[in-house]
Amino acid sequence: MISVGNIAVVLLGAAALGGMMNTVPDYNSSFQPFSIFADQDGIGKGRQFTAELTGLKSAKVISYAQFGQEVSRDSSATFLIAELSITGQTESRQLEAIWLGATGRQYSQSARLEDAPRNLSSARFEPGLTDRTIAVFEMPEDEIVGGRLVLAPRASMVMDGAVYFAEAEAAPANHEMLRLEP
Amino acid sequence: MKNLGWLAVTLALFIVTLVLTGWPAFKDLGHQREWKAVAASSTEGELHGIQVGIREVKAAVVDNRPDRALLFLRMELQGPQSAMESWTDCRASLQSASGERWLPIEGYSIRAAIQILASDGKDNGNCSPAGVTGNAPATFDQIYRLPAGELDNLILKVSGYGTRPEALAFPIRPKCAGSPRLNASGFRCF
Repeated sequence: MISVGNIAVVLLGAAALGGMMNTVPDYNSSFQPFSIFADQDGIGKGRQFTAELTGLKSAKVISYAQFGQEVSRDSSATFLIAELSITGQTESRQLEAIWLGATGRQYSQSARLEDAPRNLSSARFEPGLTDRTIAVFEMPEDEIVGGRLVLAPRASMVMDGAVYFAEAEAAPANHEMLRLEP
Repeated sequence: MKNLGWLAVTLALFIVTLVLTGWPAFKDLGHQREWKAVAASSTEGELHGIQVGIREVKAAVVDNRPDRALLFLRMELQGPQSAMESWTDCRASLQSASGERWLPIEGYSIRAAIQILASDGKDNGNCSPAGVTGNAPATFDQIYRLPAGELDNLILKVSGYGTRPEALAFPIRPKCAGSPRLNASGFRCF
């Protein structure tokens, strides 16, 4: 009787262990940044930065000057430009932005516009200084309304905070040609 | 009594597991932080066999943004190559009294300001162990962007991955950048 009891305990332990091993979250889902939601004024305070979403624009063509040369980028989809004002908090830090589309798809910043003036990709934010910047995405137009901007420290998402801004409730002002100035 | 013994063994094994798994993470955290900063004199210090000297510290504000400043810092590192290799990398950051930390800027556009602020007009590049050979002092130039109001009370911390959590801490008193070239370029002295 005792041996049957022991076998039952071992089997129960093995089943519990197997259950735990199969349900343990993987690395990527364990080490997600904390979600921080911006307030109704569009201001979100992360651990290392404070960001304000000052505007959204969309455009079919974007132009700017680089090293004295005119650069123009067009798209078969739509450019979405998020205008931000960001203040560093504790340490010099670069940030990255994603757009969570209305359908649930996730859009990274457009690599075709990394050299555009004030682009978030090349900006670094210093403690105590507030700087204006833009994040430019390229996406189908129906991903904008109902989608939202997310901002997080670059390459250091573990145990850090990502700021989620409110969903876009209306289509932003659309420009056939948008000029980006320094 | 026998059960207490098993509980004690379980507790001991739990603690051993905790230490074995947590120690590498703790060591890695120590390599990122500068918990043991050693106060150096205003211009010279020694860390893990490498002599660090501060040679030039200048600050200037840009006319159209008087709330922010550029701080140029020139330093020299000298020591045996083996000691420098033990550093692995080189970090020179500025820290305020309230704990805010500014890292040197690497962007090519703003590094042009180094050539304006340096007394000899040269940019020797950011601090790097590769440049230290031991024969002669290696010169490195850093530039920082920070609030002008923080310039009065800054600490420069110099360390390497291999030295951290130990670091050298220099009190920094930037001089006014007063070259005529600065005025022509839009920079303004204090």
